[in-house]
Amino acid sequence: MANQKGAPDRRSVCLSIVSSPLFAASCGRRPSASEATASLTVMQTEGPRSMDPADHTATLTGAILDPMYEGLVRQSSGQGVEPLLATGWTSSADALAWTFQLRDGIRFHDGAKMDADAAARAFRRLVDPESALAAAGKFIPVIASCEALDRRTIRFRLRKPYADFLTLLAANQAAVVSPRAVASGAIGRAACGTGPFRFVAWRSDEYVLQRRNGAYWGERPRLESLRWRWSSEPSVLYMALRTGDADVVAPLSPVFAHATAANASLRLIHQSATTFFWIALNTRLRPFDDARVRQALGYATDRAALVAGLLGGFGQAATAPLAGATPFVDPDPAGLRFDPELARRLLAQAGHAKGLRIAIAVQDDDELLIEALQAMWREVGVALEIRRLEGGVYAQAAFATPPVKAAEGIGGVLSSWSSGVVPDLQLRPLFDSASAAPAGANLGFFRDPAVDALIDAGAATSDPIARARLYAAVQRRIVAEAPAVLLYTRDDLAGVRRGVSGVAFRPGGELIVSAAGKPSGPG
Amino acid sequence: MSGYILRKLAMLPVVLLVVSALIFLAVRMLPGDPARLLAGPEAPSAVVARIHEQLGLGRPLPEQYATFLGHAARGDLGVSIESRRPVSQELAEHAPLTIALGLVAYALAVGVGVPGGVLAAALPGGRWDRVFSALTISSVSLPSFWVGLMLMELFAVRLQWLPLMGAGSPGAIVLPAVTLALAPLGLIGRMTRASMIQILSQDYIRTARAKGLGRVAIWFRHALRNALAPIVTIVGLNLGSVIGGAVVTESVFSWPGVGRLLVEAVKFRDYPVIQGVTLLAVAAVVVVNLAAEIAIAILDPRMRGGR
Repeated sequence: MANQKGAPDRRSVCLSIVSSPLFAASCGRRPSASEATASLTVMQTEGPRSMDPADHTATLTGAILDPMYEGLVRQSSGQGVEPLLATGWTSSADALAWTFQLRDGIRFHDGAKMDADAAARAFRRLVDPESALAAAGKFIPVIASCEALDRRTIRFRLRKPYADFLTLLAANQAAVVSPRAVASGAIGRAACGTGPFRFVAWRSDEYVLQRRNGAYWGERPRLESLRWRWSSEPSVLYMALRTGDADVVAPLSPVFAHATAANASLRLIHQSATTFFWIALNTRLRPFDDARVRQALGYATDRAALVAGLLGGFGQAATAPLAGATPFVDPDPAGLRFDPELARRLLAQAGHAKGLRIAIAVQDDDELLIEALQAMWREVGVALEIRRLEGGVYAQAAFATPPVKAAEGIGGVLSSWSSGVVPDLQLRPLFDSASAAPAGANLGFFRDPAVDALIDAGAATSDPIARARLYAAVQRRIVAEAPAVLLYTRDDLAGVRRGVSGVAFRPGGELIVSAAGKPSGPG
Repeated sequence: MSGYILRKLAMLPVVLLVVSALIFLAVRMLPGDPARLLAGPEAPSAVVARIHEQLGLGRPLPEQYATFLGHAARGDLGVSIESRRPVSQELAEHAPLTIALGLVAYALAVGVGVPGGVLAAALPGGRWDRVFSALTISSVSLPSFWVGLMLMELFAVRLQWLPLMGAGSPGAIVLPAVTLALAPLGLIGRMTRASMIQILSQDYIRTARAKGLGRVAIWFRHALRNALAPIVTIVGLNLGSVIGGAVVTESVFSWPGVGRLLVEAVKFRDYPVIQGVTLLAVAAVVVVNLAAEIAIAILDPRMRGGR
């Protein structure tokens, strides 16, 4: 693959002390001067989890896979969807059967035909529990079956009416994958879809390389190739942007946002609020089995100060249990105001007038946030013990069962979530009783039949006015019951070198670069 | 002498066997489930359980270990949970870069530390001795993570003399190698100085001086050879911490060696890769220490055949 015409030259850049062929082969490669004019390097904070769109749930992996894969539909610049591999669709009166007409004459990058049979197989694989795909959890509860009716038509049967079905199909995980690549088992390492860029190479811990798909059915990409790199150190991303090692870096740390905006050779791309931060409180454990204590923590939290101090203003204080950019988000912040006096009164009513000790589990990355909260809560007499945990240990602690959390005294878990733009994909995993950990991300074991019923009704209702009413009701109910301290939504930030155009964020926070352009010439 | 080396070499598999058992257990005692990390936070527990089963993590530990040993004996270190590629292939791709980085760093550390230490010992308390002391103490004390970032900001971003990161161009090894060299440089420099000061006060050095030999000949030909044994020992013993330093340095500079591979593997509890990298590191430490012992035996005839 790497030796095709126009492939980057494998310059051996090795030192004279080690010149084994093995070493030469493992050296990095550089695009030649002529190619550099149309090659874009994007740097993110983590590498891809997989080359299989169905086998990851990471936004940053989605960005890398996006140029190579396509789904039936895609998110349009508004909040709707537009046709992609499908040319049109209809749904039955009961909203349980959805029929899609597919575009004709499209082939996967490996030459296999993209027809109804291939598409139906991709979706059946996605919802087959035996496939054990990481993204299956989003789709299994919705899609009952998918079959090919003829060469260009497929039909889904849903388990229940699902108003956001089209938005769900626009997710990166719902991409149509090549049946040949699935059968050979290669898809996890070597992407194979129908997108404007085709997979060239993935070197673990180094880069992913993609090249323009010459046979692409749609608009021809302006770039010849895309290179993805990653570093977990935010300051390295910012340095790489300034040296030109990267043309685009994302997510850019808010610490560097103002400097990027002020730099004449750089540009800041900014999309409001999709990553939502909250602390799930353990509703099965004292003192958080008392709603007044949970509410008190909310009133003791100065969200505006967190957004200003930690995010440099690039975020929004939570007004509801949904990210700011999600449709139907309740913009009324009355229930989430900062009122330390009320917090003290509530704690006193709950019998904690003399103060209270709690423990919250956090990941390394969120240390500053929890320390700010520790200081705020100290003002109302709450002594917070921070359990700062490494990623893997944290994941285990977060998803622990009630007895384990009780034994370890974990009163709360600080976490973040990006649902894209589907309210159901945030409310259900975080607050529905059926999602109580370890089954889902309801990490505080919140159980409220009224909330469960409203979540179900909101997901099944397609009339926007009725839906708005249902979602407003569920959000206010959650705010009142306070199963979590709702903190803020963090904006998506990217740094781009001047002259690079066509880079944007999808509403879910995925970086989109497949339509990007870069001026010719060095730099 | 060759018998001694053979005996030492024969110990290598035994050491690796014991270490492999320790690593195998230690890795699995880490809290955190690879299946959950692989599936991500949104995956339902049923999918996590299925992945757990596919990875063979549900089987009893002794059974898993026996399988691992059986395969390892044939050079098969298993398949990475994360990348789904053979661990031996990952190692073959990444190890040469770490070896290159380590060699350049060691060359720098020895090349600056030994002559610097000799000169510092030649005139103790002199101007060069004070500069060298400051240099070696700070190079041991400064965290390499911070030094690395500062070097990048200065030489790659502001002066633009050297590449920022990766292994894609000839100069790219300079900054990570300097960063990695600092800690062993300090140690080797100080050890050389101390060892030389002791040797330079001995009678035979006075004799050499009385004979009218030049200073440089005395320092480097007569004194240094006898001062080398502890330095070589330090160089060998220090390899472990250099490998540890490589983990940090490679991550900062995106240098695609085994150190960066290990960091990613620990993040995702990629047991086979953690085992593979750690075993490789242990083998390297054992072999290098053996080489150091042989070198000392060559330098110092009293050490030969004694054991």
